[in-house]
Amino acid sequence: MNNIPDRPKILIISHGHPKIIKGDGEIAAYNLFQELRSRDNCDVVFLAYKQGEAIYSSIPFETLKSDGSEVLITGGNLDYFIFSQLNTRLNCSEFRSFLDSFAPNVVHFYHYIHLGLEAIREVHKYAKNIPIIMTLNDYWAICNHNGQMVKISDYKLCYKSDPADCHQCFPHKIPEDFQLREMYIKSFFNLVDVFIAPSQFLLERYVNWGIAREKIISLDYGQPIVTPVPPRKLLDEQKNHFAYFGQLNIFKGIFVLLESIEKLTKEIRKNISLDIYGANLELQPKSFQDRFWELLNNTKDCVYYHGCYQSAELPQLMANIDWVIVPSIWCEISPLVVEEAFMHKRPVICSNIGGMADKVEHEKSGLHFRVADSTDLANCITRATNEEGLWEKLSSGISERLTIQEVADKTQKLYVEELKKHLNNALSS
Amino acid sequence: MIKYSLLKIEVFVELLKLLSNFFFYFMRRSQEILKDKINAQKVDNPPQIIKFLLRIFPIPGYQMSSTLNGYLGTTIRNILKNRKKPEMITVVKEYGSKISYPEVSIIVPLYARLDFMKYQLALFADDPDFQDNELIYVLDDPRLYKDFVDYCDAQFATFQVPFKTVYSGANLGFSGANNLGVSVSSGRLIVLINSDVMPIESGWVSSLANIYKSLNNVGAIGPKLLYGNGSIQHAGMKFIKCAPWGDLLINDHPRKNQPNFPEDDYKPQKLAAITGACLMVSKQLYEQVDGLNEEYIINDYEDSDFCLKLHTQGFDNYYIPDIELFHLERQSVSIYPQNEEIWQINRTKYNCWLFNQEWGKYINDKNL
Repeated sequence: MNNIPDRPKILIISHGHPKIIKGDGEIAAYNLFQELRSRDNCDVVFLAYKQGEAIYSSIPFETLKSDGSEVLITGGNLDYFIFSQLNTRLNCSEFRSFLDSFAPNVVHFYHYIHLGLEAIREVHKYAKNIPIIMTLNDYWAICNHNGQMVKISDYKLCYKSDPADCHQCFPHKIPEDFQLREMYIKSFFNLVDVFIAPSQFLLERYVNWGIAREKIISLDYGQPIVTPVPPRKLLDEQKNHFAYFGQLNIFKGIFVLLESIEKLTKEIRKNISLDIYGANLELQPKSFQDRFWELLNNTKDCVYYHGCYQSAELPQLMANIDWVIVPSIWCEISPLVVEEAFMHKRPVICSNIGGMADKVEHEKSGLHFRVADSTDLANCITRATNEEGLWEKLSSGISERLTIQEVADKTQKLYVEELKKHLNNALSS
Repeated sequence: MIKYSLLKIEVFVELLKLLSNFFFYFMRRSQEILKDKINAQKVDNPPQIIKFLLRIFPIPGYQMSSTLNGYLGTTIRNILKNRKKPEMITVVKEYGSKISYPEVSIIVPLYARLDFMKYQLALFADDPDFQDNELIYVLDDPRLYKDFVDYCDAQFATFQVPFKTVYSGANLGFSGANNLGVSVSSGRLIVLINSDVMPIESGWVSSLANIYKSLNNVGAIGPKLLYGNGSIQHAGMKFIKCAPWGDLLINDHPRKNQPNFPEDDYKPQKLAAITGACLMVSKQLYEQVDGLNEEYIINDYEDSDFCLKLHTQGFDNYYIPDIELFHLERQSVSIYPQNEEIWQINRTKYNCWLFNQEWGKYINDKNL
């Protein structure tokens, strides 16, 4: 490669296809892919991992689109402690042959999980002069507790990894194992040219963990443009319809939310409604489900549980509510639910930490409450219901959202810059 | 009443002593028979009989010298000397292209955990030193052999660091494994490193080699080793008298666990001994002093023993504060399962006694 190709070939690698699994990271990767594909200035392929049984032959691929732009790869056997692919063939032969035949000029990872960190080295082995970009979607590399950065015993927030503390959460691993884990992950991260952090908060966490500041930039996911639904038609002059959207698990703070409803005065409870659109309750342990039903029963005068929802229904659901509550007790990354609320000009009440607090400006586009503090959340709900003009102030305080088009522009610019750098390096050596 | 029960205990202890003395008397007499028995046994390292002796017989701290000088020490030593050497099969396998004239051979014994190899290779992968020097893994654990070849294939395919493996079919212990590794090496210089030693940055092998070549009259050299939290694991070794062990000499590790404060001077420092966890020596000298002493049970003191052997031949050993590596030695207090503990503690005592038999006088005379 002597100069930058007219139509650079971009390979986007995602840990899942949104058709199969709808995580924020997978959706973000796919949105970028679709946007780049709609522009006729590059060739882009979306390679997504599909979870399944280990495959030790040459057929771990599945081509989804006849033009070859969307491909699934499966068949791994991952050591999730160090994200090491134990099915070496998958990376060293199959993924490699995919690289050889598509011959990308830029490889953009949206995750290393499932495929394994070794895939990064495989790209490096395939061609030393192509840029490797990595979007960091979570804190997995820092925290073995599914990247939650929350202590296992008491769900207290964790601020950094520390081998002795990590050993407390995972007693069957000795502290030295966590040191090795970090060294192993970093040995592959060293091969990445630029990291993209979807929030400033996440960026700081990773800089603190050891990624050089000059190697990481902050760039949010960006959302497709939608027409906002109008504010809810008021019957009683009060902005008193609240909603929760998202998974139901302990880290999403659903209990904090329901406990705060319990703490509201009778008058307020008579006045408000809380709609819960929550998925995957059935996947939770029985103790969680029991507690959930118990709290729901205690608050049935004003809380309505609707089960899960499809993203297509969202405008319709937003039309009927005023506020969105995000009570997570972990730091989140760049929660999609906040973007969705903001696109429809609904202010957000959220915990005062991490990715939520990054997006929602306190007293400007929403309200913060002290994380895991149901009393403080109850105060926020009361205030949101009673304070005249608050909703209007916060709703109009919501800033323009970053669009996927802007993100694609910036990302493409990054690709070109990195391509140039590699070209210059190759020429000078 | 209390007096009475104390008396009873004393009588019991005396009886025990008598019994055990009789036992060792018998043992000494029947050395011949024992030898045969050991031959007939499946070769374990150390032989079961030694584990047994070290488990049943209490070695008191302060009086360990006299206890071991009596029957126990010499008996164990004789058994070890006369035991049938494990049958060696020496299976050597190359992964990647063979390096024809390596300057350095890096020897790593593997025991109990194979994954250290993966961690090391991930950290060696971008270090050019590992493309033209010779890396040798010695599998010293027959239990792991089943997975070993596949594992090595996978690691080479992933990291493309060329390496050689050698397997003897037996568990030889730290000394034996390193001696085996050196015997199949072709570098002019040898680096012995433990599998839980991890580099901090690239180029440490050639830096060590350059320092080695720059020193006159050099025996062995060893870098600074750090724990994962950055505190000191090794900064050279000294010998001190251990009061609870009847003033026998033990290895001392100055500054261990202390923060890695900046040094006054980063020049190589002459010291009596350095750890075997990471040590460089020329192959010629290694062979000249017959390598590591295999008399010590499993490990302990063989590194001091080795350094002192070089010293008796007039060579100086150096600690190199300028080069740092991680040594992720397990820091927790007890690393042995409960039922292993007694014999493991006694093993350490035996090794200490043996070391003092060999070197106590030399260290005192030379004031090391």
